[in-house]
Amino acid sequence: MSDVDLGYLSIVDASKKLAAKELSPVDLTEALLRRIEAVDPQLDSFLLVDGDKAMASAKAAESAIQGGRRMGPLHGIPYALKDIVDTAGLRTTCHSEILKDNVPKQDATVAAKLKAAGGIMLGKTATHEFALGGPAFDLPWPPARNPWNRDHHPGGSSSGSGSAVAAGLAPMAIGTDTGGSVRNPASCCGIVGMKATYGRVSRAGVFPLSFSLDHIGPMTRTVTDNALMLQAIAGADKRDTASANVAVTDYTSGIEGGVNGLKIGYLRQFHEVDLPAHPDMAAGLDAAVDVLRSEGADIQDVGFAPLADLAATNRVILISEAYSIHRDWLACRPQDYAKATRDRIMPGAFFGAADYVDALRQKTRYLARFNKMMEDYDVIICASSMDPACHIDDEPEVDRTYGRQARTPFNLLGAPAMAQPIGFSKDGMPLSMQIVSRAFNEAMIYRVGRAFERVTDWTNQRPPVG
Amino acid sequence: MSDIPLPPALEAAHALDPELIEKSRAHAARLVAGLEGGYKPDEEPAHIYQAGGSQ
Repeated sequence: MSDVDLGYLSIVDASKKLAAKELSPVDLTEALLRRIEAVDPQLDSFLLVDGDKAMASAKAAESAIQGGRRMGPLHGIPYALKDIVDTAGLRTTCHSEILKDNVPKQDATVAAKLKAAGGIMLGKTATHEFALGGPAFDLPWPPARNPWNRDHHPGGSSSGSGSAVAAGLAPMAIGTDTGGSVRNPASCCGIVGMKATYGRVSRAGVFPLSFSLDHIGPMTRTVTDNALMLQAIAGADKRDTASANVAVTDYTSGIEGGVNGLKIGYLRQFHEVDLPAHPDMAAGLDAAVDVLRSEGADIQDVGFAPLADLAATNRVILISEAYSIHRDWLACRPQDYAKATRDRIMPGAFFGAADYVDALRQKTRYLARFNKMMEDYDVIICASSMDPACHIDDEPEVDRTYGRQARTPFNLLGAPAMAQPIGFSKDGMPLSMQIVSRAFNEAMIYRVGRAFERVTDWTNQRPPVG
Repeated sequence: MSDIPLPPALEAAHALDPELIEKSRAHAARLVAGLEGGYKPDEEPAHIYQAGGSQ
């Protein structure tokens, strides 16, 4: 197989070939490292590539598989980590001057889990500074670019992870999501991004943005690949105060179950009333829902709280907690932050304690409404982004479109939500939908996403990057 | 909320970008206005480490 074909090999297919010894982890890793060298100068998706360690891991995986000690579906599969995820002995910068020389002593739990599953760590990916400030051009490293059109932004804050996976530089990557930062780059780059239930994936060793809203999530090109990755990283962790002591279900055993007879709520209010979407996005969402209906789902319109109010509640909590984290550095090193980061954190100085508590009380109200709504539906379909990705250097347009999204409610609610590609805009940029369900019901989201994927071809598209 | 004075620790940031403080103050006020308000005394805040009321 060519490097390009190996680059776009799904985890499912690569895993089969590795198990059958038709493909070597060494050959796969070498091909991806060559692709990164050839393609990434156009995209800047990686901040650091650790080729030597990747090759050593690949050789160890090859030896184990040849010796009959295959550990599972991710054994020998390369991956990338957003550069706010700690890696023992390897620089973890948060894409910031502040931490540019930071070398953690211990792996984040999610990094340790992928390593334990036999994955091959390729390197660390670009992020908005501290998972918040970007895209920014006043940082030590440039922002990542969108492989569908490098003049456009790839979404964020897990921008490098989204770009690298979409460009066939890695079949899977870790992102983090506090206000939508796994699902935004997934939406912008045409890949699958899951924000699982709050507490489902350990946050230990991942630089915090907002303690009560932070989630860690898998980013892949296909739905089943995403389920396999979540399977490897989900689970209780004593290192994480918020870790959920809830059994991890099997995310792939029912994934081909289809949607016939499932009840699906279509939350069109978000993109038709609250934040009217770009016409291509609105048409794409309607078409996606029609596909699910034609597969036998019972689709009903649903309504929920206004998106602007949900977003405001999320932001009061997020910015308050982020300001608490960054206050000391902002006081003594403000010049070392990107302007975009300062702009987004500084409102936290002007919330009172009662404002923060009120936002948490508001969260209680929304949780009650959401849990009541979800008694009637298996999943909800709604928009992820209201607009296709705009030009990365068009600051006013980035500012205008960045908040036009429907992802923040599900950080607030802690509910699982997945972004999945549903087509392309007239100018060739990816379109996406979100599939949402009740807490710990990720398997149902994957089942619905896979039913859609099986009868469409959107997750098999390749961006024009060689 | 919006009448909270500039914390002394932010003087360096203020010097770097004199408009930032006022923009931030106004943005914070807009966000707080998005809360419904009218919370009854017994309406408790969500536990910050909570998903779906399940924990």
